[in-house]
Amino acid sequence: MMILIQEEQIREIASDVWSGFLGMDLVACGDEQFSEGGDCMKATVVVTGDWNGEVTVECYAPLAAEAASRMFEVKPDELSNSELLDALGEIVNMVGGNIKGLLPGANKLSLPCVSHGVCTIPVPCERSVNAVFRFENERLSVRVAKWEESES
Amino acid sequence: MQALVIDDSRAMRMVLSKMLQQAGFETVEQAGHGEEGLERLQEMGSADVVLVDWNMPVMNGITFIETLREKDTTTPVVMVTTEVEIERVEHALAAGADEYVMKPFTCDMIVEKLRMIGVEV
Repeated sequence: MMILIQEEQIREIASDVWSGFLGMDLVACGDEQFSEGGDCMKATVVVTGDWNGEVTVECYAPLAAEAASRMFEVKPDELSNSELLDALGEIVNMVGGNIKGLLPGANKLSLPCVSHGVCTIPVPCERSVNAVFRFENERLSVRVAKWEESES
Repeated sequence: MQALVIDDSRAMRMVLSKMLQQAGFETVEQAGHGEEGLERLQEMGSADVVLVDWNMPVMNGITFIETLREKDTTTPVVMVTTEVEIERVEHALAAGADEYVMKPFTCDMIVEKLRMIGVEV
């Protein structure tokens, strides 16, 4: 079963959140590789119901800090780790919730899960759609992945 | 005027609180989930409006509204959530919410909804 979400729809939703809500104008770019190293942050919400899968926002900590600083109204270097996690969690919550609204059937959205880790390069396949953006010199990835039936 | 913002995200509570203060609210109290929201509302005595998220741990926004409406049918409640489907909107309104705002939102959208339910901002 195809994923049913188009990359353009992800771009539109991500832009609404980042540009409209945070005042950070994202620039769409190619599926470029994240630079190696650095503190990568990954935020995920899980969609369950008639459609099962996940929505992930991935970026390096400086971009998460820039977004968080706009929400908490403090300088990026004054943010605590919990504030970074909280802000990125709310961002993936907004992105994921709006993507869920485009999916077929009745579905539920999980609470967000946010972690520090290693940024990954998603392998394109019919079960996932990835949109990559740039804000100044930082990159942001939004990925929608449909689980295999056995994963649901 | 005083308001209560209930959301499990502290970042979202900060954003909404700032918007409400810009709209003229002198006091904006905050709670991290529905149960805490009920306690905070009791401490406050009354609120001119309550803004509540849907998906929260401990007690979600729907249960908060249903519990509140058992004893308080007048405090204006606006659900502010990422749940964008029309069925969800109808569910929230049936539970007792007065209005519904979808995330992401702007300050103007919040003010417009407050005015629609008679909150003078």
